[in-house]
Parts: sequence; structure tokens; C-alpha cells
Amino acid sequence: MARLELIAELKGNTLASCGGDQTVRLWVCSSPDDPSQWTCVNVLEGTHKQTIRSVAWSRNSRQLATASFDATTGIWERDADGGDYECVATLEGHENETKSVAWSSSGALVATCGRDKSVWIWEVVSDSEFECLSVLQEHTQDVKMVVWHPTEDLLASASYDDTIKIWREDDDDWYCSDTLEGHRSTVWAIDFDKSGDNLVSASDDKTLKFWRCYRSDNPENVSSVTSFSEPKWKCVCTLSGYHRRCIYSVSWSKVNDRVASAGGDNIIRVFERDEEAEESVESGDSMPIYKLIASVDNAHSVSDVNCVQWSPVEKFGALLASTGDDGIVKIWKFVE
Amino acid sequence: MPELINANPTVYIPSKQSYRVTRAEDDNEDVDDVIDSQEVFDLIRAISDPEHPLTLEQLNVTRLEHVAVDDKNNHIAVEFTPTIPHCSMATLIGLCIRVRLLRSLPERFKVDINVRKGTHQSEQAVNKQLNDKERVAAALENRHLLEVVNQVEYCNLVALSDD
Repeated sequence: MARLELIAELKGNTLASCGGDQTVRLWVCSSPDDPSQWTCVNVLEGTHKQTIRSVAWSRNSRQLATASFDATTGIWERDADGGDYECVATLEGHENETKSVAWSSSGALVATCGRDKSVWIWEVVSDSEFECLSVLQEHTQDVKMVVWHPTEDLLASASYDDTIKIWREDDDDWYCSDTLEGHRSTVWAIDFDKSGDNLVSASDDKTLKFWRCYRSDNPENVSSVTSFSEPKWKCVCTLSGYHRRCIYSVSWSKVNDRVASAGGDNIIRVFERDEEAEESVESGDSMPIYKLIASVDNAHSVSDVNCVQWSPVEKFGALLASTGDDGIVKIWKFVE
Repeated sequence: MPELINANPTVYIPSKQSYRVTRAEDDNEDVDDVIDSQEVFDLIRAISDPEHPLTLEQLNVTRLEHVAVDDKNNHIAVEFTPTIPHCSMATLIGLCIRVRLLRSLPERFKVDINVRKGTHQSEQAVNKQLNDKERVAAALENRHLLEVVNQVEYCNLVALSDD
């Protein structure tokens, strides 16, 4: 069996991540060839008054967005001489805790969500100017996470109302194009695969679900929801029995297609497509089958694992970062 | 004074069972500190009700037999019984129990807190909220709510010293 090898522990906070101490820490790999040595180079602090729940790099890595329980989202940028980061804009509008923030692939849009059940779409007017384009209020409970499609202006949101919603734009008008139902409790995390045609979700119901997008011209004839041209998302695989408590995070590698999950049972798991098993199944609908290929028990000692994230960089595709309630960031290497 | 949710609750006599008796091995550093249901119950029995100057034990909200501890697997399950099925204080009471255990128990324990089956009309909603750690974390950053929770803990200290 393959395994995850611990190659670095970052104490304090994270790579570019955040925590209950209201700061963001930026870590860099000291040597481009040795991913086990990391140094904390920046601490972003003083702007948020409460926990920072989510942090996201813009696509060109020039800016960083932070979503905080203090109801605001901060936009950070390096000052002119390339030294410290400063907060250049604050997005205000959510009534209370902001839980997640994400930049669209084009870099032109930012999405935020929170306990007030809403999803906000912001347009990047300039580096320090953001304009709210839309406030989407169709979730019936807290919205836990927002994630953009890897190439299109299409957004997915996960909620305490047990559903995932897909949002699209039609002539400057954002609308809910599909609601993915199936989880029996809060959906904590979602992630697209590299193509954006597949989505994975992690839930308090202790399952992972894989969803596939079917266009209206799909050969399976899955009927579309609202209009003929509207793509429809369908659950094609459910993984249960791999986590004993709530699953808080899931990450789908854009480099090697592996899926990592982690949660309140202190375990990190890694899955990949089981092509052999898929071939042996006699059916024409080509449902994906996933197999467990690596696990780490007590990845953060006795603590919940709150987040796992694969490196998006080709060269470091085998690296996975994790954070836990122990306040430590760990870097793992997937070893065949 | 605002109208009470349950103005006239039934008051029970606390169980005769004494608080946990100190054992010889408690001071032995070489022995793992095993937590049992009595110890967990002792932590929560004296939490005061947000509405009355009575403890959760006196109102029969918490009971020893509704505390399950699996020390080996680091798991604790606490069930509590609201005094009335439409008690709007149920979430607050559950939060107080969670905070007390969060502050007192070793980190290794995973704690599930639930309303006892069939004792509250919004049972599922209350349970979901109490076991969502993001909601709990956010609640504890809310100064007003934290004051209420701390007050309940503080009253409890006073009650103990009056014994």
C-alpha cells in the first residue's frame, strides 16, 4: 500500500493559512528541491478581530483573501518594495461570520459565504476595489464553503442545509442552476477535479460523494432541471465507512487526480480511481469506483484534522498540507 | 423581569451518590488517568440552569446514567433532558455542557452532546447545532453569549461554595 510520509511540521500557523489567533502566516519552502524545510516569512495581523476561517490566493498569487468570523473579508497585497503584506481592501456585507472565500479562475471574481445563509459574488474592479455583483440567498442554512470551477465562471457552495448548489451567470444575473441533494447532514467541503466536470463533497454524514456533470446532450439522458440547456449534476459514487466522525475537508489534486479527505476522527485518507475494478463491472454507464490507497491515523495526534490541501504545483504534486486543532501545519509526501 | 420559559419546573433531589471519590492511583504519575462517567457527570451536574438558581442535576436535566464514557476510544456521549419539550434554552444548556467539558477534559476526548431522544420538539436542530464545532467556536467568540456561558459557570462556583 502507498503511504503518506510526514516531511515537515510547521508550528504556529500555516503555508498561507489561518486560525483562531486572527492571523495568517505565510510559509515558504527554504530550498526549491527540499520540501521538508519551511520558514515562516510573514505574519498578516491586526485587521481581523476574530478567527480567520479561510484563506485563498488569487490566481496570479499577488493577492490573498481572508474570510473571518468578524463578518469581513480582507484582501492583502505585498507593499511596493516587496516586503510586508498590507490589507488593501475589506469586503463588508455579511451579517455575521464569513466562512469561506474563493477567487475565480479568471481572477475577475471573488465569492464569499457565511452563517447568514448567503453567497456573495464580488467583481474585482481594481486591486483595492471590489464591487458586489450579486447576493445569492437560496441556501436555507449557513453556507460552509464556496469553490470556483477550475476554468469557468461557475461556483459551487456547500451548506449546513445538507445540499450543494451550483451557481451560474446569465447576462450579469447569477442564479442557482442546480441543487445537489443526497447528503444526510452538513456538507463541509467540496472540490472540483481538474476538468471541472466532477465534484467531490465531504459531509458530517461521514461520507464522501462524487458528482458528475451531465450536459443536456449527454448519452445517459439524465434529464436537465430548469431548462433544456442546463447541465445536471448527479451523484455517481458514495464512499462510506472510511471515516468514523464528521469529514471536514476534501481536496482533489489537479496534478494527479488523487482525492484526500480528513476529519474529526483524526484520520487522513487518500483515494484514487480503481480502473481495474471499473473495467470488470459490466455496465454501460461507466460509474467511477474509488479505492483507498493511503491512510494516516492520528495525523495530528489526538486532534481533529480540519483541512487537507494538495499542492497545485506540478513539481510538488505529491505534497499534501494538513492543519489540525493542535495548531500545527504538516506537510506530507505521497510515496508509492 | 422577562417571562420565564418554564416558570414552575419540577425540582428533584440530587442523587445521594457522592462526588467522585479520589483513588490511590490518581496521584500516581505512571498510571494513565482514566476518565469515567462519574467524573464527567461531576463536571456537569452542578452547572446552573440559565433560568433558575438551580443546578442541571436538581432539574433532572443531566443524569449520571445518561453519560457514557469510552475512555479507551477517547469518546464521551452526554445526553440531557430539557425540562419542557419547547424549551428555548436547550441550545444554551447544551452549549454550557460543551464548554464545561471543553475546558475540563483532556484534549484526546471527542464529545457528542445530544438532547435525549423524544424530549424536545426541535431535537434534531438542537443536536446539529451543538455538534457543529464551527458554530460552537463562533458562539464562543460572541462576547454576549460568552458572558452568559461564563455566568452560568460562575454561579456554579458560588453554588458549590454554599454547600
